[in-house]
Amino acid sequence: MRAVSASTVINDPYRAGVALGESLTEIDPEVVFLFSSIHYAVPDVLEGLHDGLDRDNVIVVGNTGDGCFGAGGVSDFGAAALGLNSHGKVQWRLERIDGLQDGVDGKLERLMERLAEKDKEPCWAYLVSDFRVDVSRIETTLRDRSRFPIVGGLAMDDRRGANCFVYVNREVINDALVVLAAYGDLGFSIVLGNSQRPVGRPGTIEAATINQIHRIDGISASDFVERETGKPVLQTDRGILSVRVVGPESPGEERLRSIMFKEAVNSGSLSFFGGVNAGDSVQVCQASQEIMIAELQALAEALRSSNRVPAGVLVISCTGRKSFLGALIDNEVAALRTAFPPGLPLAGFASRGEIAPRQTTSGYTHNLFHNMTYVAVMFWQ
Amino acid sequence: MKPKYLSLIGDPPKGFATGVFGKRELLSGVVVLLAADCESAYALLPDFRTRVEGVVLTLGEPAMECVGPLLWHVSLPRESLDGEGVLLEVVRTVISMASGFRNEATVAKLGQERLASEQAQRSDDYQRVTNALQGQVALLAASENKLQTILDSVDACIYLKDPQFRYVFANRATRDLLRRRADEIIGFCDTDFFDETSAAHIRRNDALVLQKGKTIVDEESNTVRNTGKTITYRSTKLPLFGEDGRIYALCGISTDISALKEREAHLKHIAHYDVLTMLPNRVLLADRLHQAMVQSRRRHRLLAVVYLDLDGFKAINDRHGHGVGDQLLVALSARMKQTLRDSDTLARLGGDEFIAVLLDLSDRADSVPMITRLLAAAAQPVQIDDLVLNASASLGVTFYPQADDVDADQLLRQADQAMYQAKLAGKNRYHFFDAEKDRSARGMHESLEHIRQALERRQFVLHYQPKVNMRTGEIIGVEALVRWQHTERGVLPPGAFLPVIENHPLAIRLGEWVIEEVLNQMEAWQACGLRLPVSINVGARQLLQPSFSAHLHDSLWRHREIRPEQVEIEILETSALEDLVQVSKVIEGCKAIGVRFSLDDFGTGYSSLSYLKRLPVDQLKIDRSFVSDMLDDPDDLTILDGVLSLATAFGRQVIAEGVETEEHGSMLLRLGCELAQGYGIARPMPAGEIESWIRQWRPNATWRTIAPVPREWLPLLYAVAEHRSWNKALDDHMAEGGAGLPQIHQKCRFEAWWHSAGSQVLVEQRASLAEAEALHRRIHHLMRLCAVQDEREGVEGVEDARKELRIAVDEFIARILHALDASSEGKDTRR
Repeated sequence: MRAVSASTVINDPYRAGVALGESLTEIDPEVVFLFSSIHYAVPDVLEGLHDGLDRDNVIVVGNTGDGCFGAGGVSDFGAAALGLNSHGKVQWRLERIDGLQDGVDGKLERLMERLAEKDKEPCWAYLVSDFRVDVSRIETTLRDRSRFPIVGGLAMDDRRGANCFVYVNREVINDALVVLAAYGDLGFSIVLGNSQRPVGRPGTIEAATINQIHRIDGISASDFVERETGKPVLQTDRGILSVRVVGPESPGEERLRSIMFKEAVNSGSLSFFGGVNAGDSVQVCQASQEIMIAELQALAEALRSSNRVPAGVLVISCTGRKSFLGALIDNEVAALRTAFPPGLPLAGFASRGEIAPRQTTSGYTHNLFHNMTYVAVMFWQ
Repeated sequence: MKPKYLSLIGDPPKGFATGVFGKRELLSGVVVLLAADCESAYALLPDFRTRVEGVVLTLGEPAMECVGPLLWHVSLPRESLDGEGVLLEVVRTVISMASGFRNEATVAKLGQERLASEQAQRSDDYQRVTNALQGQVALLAASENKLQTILDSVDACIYLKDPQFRYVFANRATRDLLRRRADEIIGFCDTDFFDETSAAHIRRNDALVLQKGKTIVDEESNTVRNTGKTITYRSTKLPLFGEDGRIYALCGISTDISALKEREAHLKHIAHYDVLTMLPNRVLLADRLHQAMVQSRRRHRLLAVVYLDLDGFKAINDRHGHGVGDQLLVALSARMKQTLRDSDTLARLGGDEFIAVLLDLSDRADSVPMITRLLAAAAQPVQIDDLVLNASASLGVTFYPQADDVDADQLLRQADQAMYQAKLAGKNRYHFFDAEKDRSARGMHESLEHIRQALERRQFVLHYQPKVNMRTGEIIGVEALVRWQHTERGVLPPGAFLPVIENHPLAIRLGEWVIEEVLNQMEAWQACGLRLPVSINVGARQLLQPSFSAHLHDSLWRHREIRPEQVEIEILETSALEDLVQVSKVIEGCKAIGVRFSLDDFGTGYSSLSYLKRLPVDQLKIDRSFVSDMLDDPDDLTILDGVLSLATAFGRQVIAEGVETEEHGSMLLRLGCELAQGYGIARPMPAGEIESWIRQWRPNATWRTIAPVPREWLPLLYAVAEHRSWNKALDDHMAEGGAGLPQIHQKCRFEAWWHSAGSQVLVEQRASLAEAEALHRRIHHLMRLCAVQDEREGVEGVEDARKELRIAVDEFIARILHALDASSEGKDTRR
């Protein structure tokens, strides 16, 4: 596998696309992952990308995010692209579903079925969805229906929550979910980092609906958090306070859930960016820059210690981490840059929710939906 | 991206490309587009002017104008374009740079917009947070007010101090205590409010809390209010820890416990002092007495415990009421207390009883002045309202230490006993305790318990001593004698325990047991064919029981095989005299059913002949004391003879106790007394030995031949006793180194008889006594010789004469007795 990445801040979308495309032509990519800030979400960027590549037979998939990740760092504005060429060892397939407000779980199920047609299952996939979707359904469907690692996230804008776009070849679309599946000999490793400092004692969710927790250990969710942290849930806790949930029957599949502070519920319930289930164990956590940065370094070191030759890396990180780390967000790229030889191709985006399985000793868990999580997919040569 | 030189006109200058130009050509980098005119260029892209970066070049006079953000229209002569194109290159470069700047500006602007947006959002957040915080602060303030209200409403002082010991919070109670406003307390230390000593005391514990993290509980401190009253505070102080684990403050809670302290002191006072008289009570007395005893031992000095009981107090109480009685007690208490030293204690036990403990006495006499003063104080008249009351006191005194180990309780009992003696002696006096008497009383108390236990454990047994007719050899019965098979001391005779229970109900229990046991034994003997009368000793207490007759009747009813006549009750003469009438009634009642009665130890009481007449006893038992000495005591012999005569006169049977030898029996027989018991006949034995003893016993052969001496010859028996007594006295004189020779009368009893009644005897009888008479004369001679030798040479000089005298006396007595026995032959001289 060969990879190359490029990034640009040329504000003209076409021009930016051309610049990216021209940068990627050296490897003649089979697929291009394109990530950009919301400002570039016009067809011109894809036209420019194709014009720059001077090819039409390339799969382009990507999306807008809260800025983009490139080999040089993280920026709030710009576009970045990662091109991959497996020299035919990997077969790529692009699938999409539109109209996410209507039966997304069924549509996703059928998409998964299409991907597994002819008894051939992908070895890996990238999934991106418009953020305006019931992620709990996506998570449930992915968890129940996918048996291969899927990494992805939710397209978003610059944290205004107004709009987002998904890139599919020459189209800029929304209200859609796109999956790029890889078949064949794709060497990759997925690492996931979301360590936070636990606060107080864990509880058990007694009542929950979709993404709302109503009662924990006999008291309201708000009271529970207040009891464990010693103070009420405040706006200032946004990005700092999360809860780690894990089901009783799958202890290795922990997920972080961020509190939706804009949707305070007077009854004491708390809403989260992601699904929650009654019976799950819940532990209040507090973000720590030190812990996050240390974990990034550990993850990079873990990838490095596999002693394989990297081709390129795809990064999906939570916009909440970008907001919390501030200028330190650059560590999410710098850690990899430091661990590997210079020039490691890298592209990614800040997402509004991350999709990835957790690594186990024998492979990966079910595909899970996360908040405040850093996901990196290292493609090996 | 590479700059492009594009031409829309044919035959462009060198370096310009012609063709169809789209987005790719026009937007990728800086473009120099040669066109006939600008419009034709603008037509290539809808937003040509805003998106294309570069130059629209037309041919013509030199001119330049800006037509777009990064687009210029430059007009140049054709000739100038055929050259190196330096100008265009410069323009291109400038435009490239400008493009870059514009990008950067755009990025910066976008960044600024995002920043502004985020700032706005953060402002919103900030506002929301601020509002929330303000709300929280309001809540906290309300909560703090509430807390402040609560803290101010409590009476305890609640305060916080920082690690520099400065107050950071003080509730109302604290402010009141310190008499300061909050702003006059916050930031200040205890040294600003308390004296140096108090502040140092407070600071010590505060330091432990703030520097060592200790929690101080129950710290007590005093402070003096401006009224002069001392207030006692009990404080709890604890450290407050921050999130970093460091102590950031001390929280103190101090409670005014003055009232509690006062109550404690009051209770302590009540617990130790008598409420009426304010004298120490029993509790405090016990403590002081204990201390006094320790001091007494340590200093080797005496202490006196005086038990004081007011005389006549009850009468005063009854007559004038308890109110007056109480006032009297208070007045007398005060007076008596004044008579004592400071080191002494006067305590009230209760009622009209007091105890004084006098310390540091050199001897008993040392206590007398104080005791006397106590008596005087108690005897002084007391005026209460218009009453003048007179009382006095009886005092019992004991001292410590004593020969035996005694404790405080024992001292009080001793003093109490002594006080009682003082009462008995007439009151208004003191009496010293007699330790010796107490010891024997205690011994008796101990014995009573042992005897009771022995009764319960069936440690008593009956032995039986046979009673016989010495002359006929008939066994007339046995006497039941109780023995105590003591587990440690072996078999104890009645004398070892009966005196102890003499006046105790145990005597009755034992007596009833004896009766029952005797009747059981009689039944057992009867079953073996042995019908033996048994005499039972009954004490006065038992005899005088109203139910004695009924009880005896009941026992005999239960043992119907036993004939009442077989049962003889022996009562002491001295017991009978206690209540002659009652005893007579009892005897009559028992005799009505056939029981016999015997008067024991006859001769030892002071009964007159009329008493003897009134006591319906069947038999008199002559006390052993008369029998044992009768052989060599002519007085006892005389009394014995008299008793026998009396008994005969009143028709009572006589039996002699204490027959220890054949000689005793012989003498009794000569006096006419045939019935006897004693060790010379048989010792008391267990019931199981009686039968075998009866089978083998034979009376002394001599006894069968001895007849009572005629009355006219009785003086010779006295003479025999008299001469024996002389011999004994001489032996005693010799043995005791000169105890004193017996005084020999010129006319001893023999001499007297010889010349009186003796002269009236038959000649042959007188002839048989001639040798006795000669011996008698020799005896007197030897006695005189002894007296002379004794006077001359002392005891040693008498030895030879004594030997001769002894021989002579023995020979004399033998001849007299022979003569006596001969004189009674064939004569019925029995009594």
